[in-house]
Amino acid sequence: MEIFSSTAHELQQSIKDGELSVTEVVQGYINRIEAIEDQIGSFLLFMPEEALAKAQALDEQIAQGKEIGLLTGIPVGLKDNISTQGIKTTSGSKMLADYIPPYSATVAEKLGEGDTIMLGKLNMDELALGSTGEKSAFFPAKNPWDLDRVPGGSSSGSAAAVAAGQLPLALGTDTGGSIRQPAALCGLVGLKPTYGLVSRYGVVPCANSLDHIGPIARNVRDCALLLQAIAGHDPRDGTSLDEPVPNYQEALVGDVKGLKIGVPQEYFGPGVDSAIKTSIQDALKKLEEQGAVVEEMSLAQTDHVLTAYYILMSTEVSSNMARLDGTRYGYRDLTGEDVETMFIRSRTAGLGPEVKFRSLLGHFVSGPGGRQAFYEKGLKLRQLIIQDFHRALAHYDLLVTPTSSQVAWERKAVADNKGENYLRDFSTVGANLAGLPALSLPCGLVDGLPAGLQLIGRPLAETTIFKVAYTLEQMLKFPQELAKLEVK
Amino acid sequence: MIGKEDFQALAAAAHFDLTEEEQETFTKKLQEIVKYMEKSLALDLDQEESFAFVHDKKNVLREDEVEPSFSQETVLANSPLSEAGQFLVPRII
Repeated sequence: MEIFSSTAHELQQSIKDGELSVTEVVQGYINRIEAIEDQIGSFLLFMPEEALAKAQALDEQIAQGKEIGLLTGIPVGLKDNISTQGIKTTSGSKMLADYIPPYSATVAEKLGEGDTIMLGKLNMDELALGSTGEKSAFFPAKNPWDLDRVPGGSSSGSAAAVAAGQLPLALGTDTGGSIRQPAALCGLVGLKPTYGLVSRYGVVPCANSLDHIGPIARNVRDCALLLQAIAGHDPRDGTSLDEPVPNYQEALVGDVKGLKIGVPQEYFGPGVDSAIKTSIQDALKKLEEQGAVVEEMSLAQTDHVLTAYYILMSTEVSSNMARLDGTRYGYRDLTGEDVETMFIRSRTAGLGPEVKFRSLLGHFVSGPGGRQAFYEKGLKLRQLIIQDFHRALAHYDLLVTPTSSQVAWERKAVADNKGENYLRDFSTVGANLAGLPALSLPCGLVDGLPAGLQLIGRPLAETTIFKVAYTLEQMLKFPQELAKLEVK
Repeated sequence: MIGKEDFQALAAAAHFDLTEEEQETFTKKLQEIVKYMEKSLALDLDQEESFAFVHDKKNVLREDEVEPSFSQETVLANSPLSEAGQFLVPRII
């Protein structure tokens, strides 16, 4: 078996058993990246030399008896909106094309302390605004299952890299589905943890009350491993929860007997591909066979989810993007004679159309002319939605929905001047609004492309989600076909 | 509906200089989205509470102790223009 087709926990075992050196593992991935990156476009920054140097140092320490941790020697990649000290962090934007953070995000520090090997920074829709990967200011990442299709987004490079075997693990960020949707479109496991479980210190903010960092992996065990490495309280993030972190590996048992699973009917409407629905129904039947209780139910406030999301997201986005004005960092147009002109010209040239549009939308829904009432309404709608989820989760252990209403679509299939792209986020944004943990699990193939189902749990119930996802994974045997991608 | 003047005021507030074509596309998209929101915005929510965050509200404080911070040089390293330890910008007033 090729090194790149192994999972993280298999690699970790091989390193532990002395069958593979860290250098061999890292070289295996470097070879894979070099062979196919031209086709995939998942890396904004590839760091083979630094990675090999760290791998060799680690091998020497291991030879001297260094203890091997959960992720020792495992290659990882970070979405490029996660700050890395001294290493370019562009957030997929021309505005930050040369930005070098003076500090690292907490998650980057934790992965470093866990002796993972960072292979690079991953492509993304500009400033995490987008759901196809096509909004990267540099180049679009492509879906390894079909290079003419989008990998999803905004964590497009994270998903494309793991699906293509360029990395066993990657971190993404998720404000409205940006981990789960690309995971679904690329046949991977992606988790948006409970709000506050993983520190966001050092992530380039998109919408602070909705932003999350989480793992993308090829299976549930690897996903749990990566979450273990990044979860936990961080005093540098005021929204970080001061709660103990469970041992997620212990949750990986095939036992769903007696668990109550709710299936909200609003998420299975006519807009969802019927083959995806069938594939989820089949998965639910398997859970029933294992003793879970599956019931159709209703989340009555679902109609308001997108309105609340677009009001709150865009308001927070417009506030965050306002800092990108060319004063302290980032691109600056030097032709203006006064500071106002400098702001306008720098922002106009440095930011892409999606960032501009969402900033304008944010100004619109929170601005003068009585429209600040929109924002107030958005906050109240959010409360209705939170109550709706909490009522449901008081009765059910988990909710199951589709992750994306469609499998990966063709690149450039949706014109930029349509509001249509925004409605695709529908299934995933609820968990962001309510701060609930939600995982996307591959549940089958539709016309040869992966479909994903979403498991939404109670706050801090990642263990329950992992248990059900792991059980399902064993039964579904989703075909991870890395070799499908031919090396040209 | 969003008129041309309204839109230009928005663009000015957000510090963007938009082409005619962008103004047209963005106005159309904005109208589509606002139309989509109408149904939810029509709800009577006067009795509902509004919070900005999902968790219980509490202040997060730390001891007021001096901690190491970045040097002036580090902070200015990403600045497009700086001089004498300060960010340099064009005329403000």
